[in-house]
Amino acid sequence: MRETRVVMGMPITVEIVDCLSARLLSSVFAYFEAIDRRFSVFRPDSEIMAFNRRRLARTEISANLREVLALADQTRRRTHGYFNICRPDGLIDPSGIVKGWAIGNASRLIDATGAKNYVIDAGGDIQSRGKAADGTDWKIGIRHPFNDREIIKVVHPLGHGVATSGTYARGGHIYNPHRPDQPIVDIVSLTVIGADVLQADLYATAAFAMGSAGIWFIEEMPQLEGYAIDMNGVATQTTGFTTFVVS
Amino acid sequence: MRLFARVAVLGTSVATICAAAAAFASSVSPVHLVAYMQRYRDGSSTGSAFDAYYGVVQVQAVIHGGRVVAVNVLRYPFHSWTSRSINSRALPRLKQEVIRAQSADVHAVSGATLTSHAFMRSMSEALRQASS
Repeated sequence: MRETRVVMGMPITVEIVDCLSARLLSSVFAYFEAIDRRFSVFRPDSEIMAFNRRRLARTEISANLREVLALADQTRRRTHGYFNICRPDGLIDPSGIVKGWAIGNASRLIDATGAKNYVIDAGGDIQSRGKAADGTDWKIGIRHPFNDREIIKVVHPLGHGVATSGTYARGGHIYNPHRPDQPIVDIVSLTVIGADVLQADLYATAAFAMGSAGIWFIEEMPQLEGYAIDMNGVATQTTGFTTFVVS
Repeated sequence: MRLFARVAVLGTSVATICAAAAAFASSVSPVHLVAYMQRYRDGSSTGSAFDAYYGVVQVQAVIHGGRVVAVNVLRYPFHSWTSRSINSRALPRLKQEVIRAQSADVHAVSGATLTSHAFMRSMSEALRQASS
């Protein structure tokens, strides 16, 4: 069974091949909705906004929020500060970590029922297990950074998590405000395949912030493979990425 | 981001330095090599530290018998490659390709979130700065 809903400001699709009951699908979406109520910075009554407004002390926060904050801190250190949930305006915004973290938890929720063949796609972060309905390996496409209707790479994640970080350029309108006379050679999309979707998500975010050096950071990290696309449509991949490539 | 590794080299060390620096520079950054045709004093010569935007790269050439016998990367952005001799380690060249349309017959698509709030904020700020 398969369903798509908009939760956490993005389309979330859940397909569970071995399950014919709508109840499991509903409980997965209910989980994402609960996550949104706790972690959304766009909800004034969320726990994260109470924490941001100093209405909640560190000792009063929920176990979930505590776990997410601890993960964010650990990741910030491991990525030399390139991953940071504290925004320039001072707001603590854990959305960069919550997405992958929630998908991982939802995945475990499905695992606990014994279902072995499913895919969760939350805003382009994908966790798949087992096989698709037709018995083949799950096939994941990487979106063309400049043409959202086109796929430019197809991978079999083979149970690994897939996450893509990036931004989209529209013609020549994106430039570096600090160096307006220099051409942008930065990357526009970075896809990471990792042991789980949380790791893939965190390191895709951090490595993207490093620009063209990010793919080297992924190359150096064990258990992560990456595919970076630059402004000119040239892609660079880590040495182990080829394991997952279909076309 | 441009990565410059300006190293004084001589003879057979050039190929090794090219491979190393090109690997650092990935797809787009030119690497400037300055080759001098005279002999060098024995000892170690440390180049200036260059700001590669994401960190600092600094190399040290070890000279013996008037020739560069080793180049050590003293400072590298991710801190884990300090004092490894480039001659003793083959840096991988990462595979590159021009992206091309593939079959759209997939079960799911991974891409940067189209309506990313951060993207929209950064875009409007860039446009505001461009028009100010």
